Amino acid sequence: MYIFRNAMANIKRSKGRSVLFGIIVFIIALSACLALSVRQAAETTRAEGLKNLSITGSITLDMDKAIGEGSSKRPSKSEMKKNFQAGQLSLTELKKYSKLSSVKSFYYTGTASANAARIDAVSSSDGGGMMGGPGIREQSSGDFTITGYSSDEAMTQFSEGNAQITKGKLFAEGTDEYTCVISNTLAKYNDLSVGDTIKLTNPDDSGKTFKVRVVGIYKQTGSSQAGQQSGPHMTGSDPNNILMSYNALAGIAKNSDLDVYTRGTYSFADYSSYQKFESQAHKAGLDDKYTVESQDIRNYERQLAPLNNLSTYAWYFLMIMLVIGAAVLLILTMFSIRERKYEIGVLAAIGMNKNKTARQFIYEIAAVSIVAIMLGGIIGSLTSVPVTNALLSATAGSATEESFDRGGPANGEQPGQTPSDDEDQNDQSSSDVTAKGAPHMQDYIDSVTSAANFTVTLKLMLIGLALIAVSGGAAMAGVMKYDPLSILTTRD
Amino acid sequence: MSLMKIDNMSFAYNTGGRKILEHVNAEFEEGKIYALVGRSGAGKTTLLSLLAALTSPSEGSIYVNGKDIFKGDTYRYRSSDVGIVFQNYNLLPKMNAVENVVLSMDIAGIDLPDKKKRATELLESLGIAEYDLKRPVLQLSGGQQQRVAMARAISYEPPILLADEPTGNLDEKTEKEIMRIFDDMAHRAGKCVIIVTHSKQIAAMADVKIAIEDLNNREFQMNIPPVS
Repeated sequence: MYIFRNAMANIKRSKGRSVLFGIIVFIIALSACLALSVRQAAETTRAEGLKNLSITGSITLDMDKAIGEGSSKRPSKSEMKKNFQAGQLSLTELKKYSKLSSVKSFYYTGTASANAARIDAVSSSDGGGMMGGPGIREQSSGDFTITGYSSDEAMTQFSEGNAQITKGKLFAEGTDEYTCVISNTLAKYNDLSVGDTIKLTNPDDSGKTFKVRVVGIYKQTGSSQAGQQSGPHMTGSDPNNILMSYNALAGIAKNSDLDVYTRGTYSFADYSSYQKFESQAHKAGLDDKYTVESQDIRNYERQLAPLNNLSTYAWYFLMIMLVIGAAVLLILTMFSIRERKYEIGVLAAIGMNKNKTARQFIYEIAAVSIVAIMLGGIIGSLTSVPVTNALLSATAGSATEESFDRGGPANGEQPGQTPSDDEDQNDQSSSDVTAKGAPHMQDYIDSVTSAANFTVTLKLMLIGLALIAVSGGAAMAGVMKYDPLSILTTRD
Repeated sequence: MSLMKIDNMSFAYNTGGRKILEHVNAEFEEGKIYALVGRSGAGKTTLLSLLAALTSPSEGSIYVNGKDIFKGDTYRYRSSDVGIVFQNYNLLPKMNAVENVVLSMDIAGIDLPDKKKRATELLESLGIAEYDLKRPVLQLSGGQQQRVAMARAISYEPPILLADEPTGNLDEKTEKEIMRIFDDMAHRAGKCVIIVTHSKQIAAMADVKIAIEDLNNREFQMNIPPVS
């Protein structure tokens, strides 16, 4: 007890030393609290966002695996196309995996390419915004794209408000009638209206024709960027895209030998279901060359990039602060022990053993450290939210600037594009995109209202303990190395 | 029966180096004042450090109540069995007089309800004024610091009191007062008081005067003869 009492009295007796030590620990604690809070905010925001995110995913072919990872020879485009076509899952297979327990719902789309006999395709120079990069086209290339939807749920551009019917109506869900909706651009370009019939041909065999009746005309209402990015089936920004029921497309394909690329979309209740799906699918027989990908998650992760970057910088900052702080405390403690060498000698000479002397010094370090860490923690907690938000705003600002510098995304998903094409294009896109159900960046900046929590406090306590251990260890080593007689006989 | 016994003890600062003390034998009893005298460098302070177990002998040992002090806990020995008054007082400078004395009692494990009161009484009995009790010890005069050091050494009532040149820095009047306290310790309280000194006055008042000859030229076992 007297050791503790003496330690407390010594803190008062050596105010200057205690205050200096306390200030250093306070700075470390404050910095650590802020850095930990930023990291915590990032983790919380990510977890919360994922919880609220409606996740869809699809099974995609891993082209590296499909081609053969070990192959040093670069495959030709035709070989890649062949591999890709061979690797396509049939609708039956896609449906099989939709029965897995992790899947909430399932829909699919089919895309085919066609030419037209009497109407012209809108070219990009005509303002249609038909964009597309180079890539593999697994189908014959025609002037028009026909997209068939299995259900209304699959028509995400309409359900998300990026497109709407302006004239006529949408074709009936699941109908096998050859009815379609076309873009207002295409309608205007070719003077088409509801009730007109379009005659289309197989691009590989112009002798095989089929007619589809226009029952509705739609227009893009959302930003083209959002339209292009919201998912693998968002082909509505292409004015030459003709939309119809999947059943109708399947019927046309059967009669006219059209190649149809079918893609399934699985909807998941939550992130863990999404994570579970891939392993379930592989267990159910899905080949290893297929992977499960979610554009929603990719978009969401991209939105979180500034926050994640901030979190990474915070981590580096924390590490640097801890290393420098620990070194400073170590040196300060060693100097302090050297300065108190005489005291150590006297205490030993009057019978206080070195363990007790070391314990007294550790109590002093611990008491000052605890107070400084508490102060640092409290002030850090109070300032963490505005500091985190200010840093986020600054990071968000620079991220936006960066996207403008790139000239914005120049991408548009084409019906014939492979998943790898998607990725290439997504990499070029700005971070300012919105995933379904996910908060926009500004939303999560506003939502950081409580950065420091129990986890941060616990981590701060562990950091405090580590600092006390470092300083206490130095104190103990210092006390142990001194011999009382030599201290007292060599006193300056 | 002797309280403390030095048994054939030798000491050298370095292994194989020159021996400061060689085959020393001596006995010390309760209730007596011993004056260790001799030329500077003869090994008086070294002998006192050995008696205080601040350093260990190269050969032989020291026994207190029949127990080898170097085989036991030397910290406990210093905190309970022996009180040391250093030449330079060796007080803790950031503490006041009372705190210095109370700390010694704490280290010795003295179980008293009010140690501050006991320390105050002790210091006052040694002539420290009330005003000086709470002053940092470095602000006290040499004589006052010596009294505080003595109060600290006797606060836990050790049977042996060791003092290294206790009056070396003091004037004649203070020296006499200090000597009176040592006299009280030995002859009234029954302590064994061992004083290293150059002072003829102290040597004269000691019950036993031990002359430590310079050992450099000694080649044989030395028994310290009591000189009275």
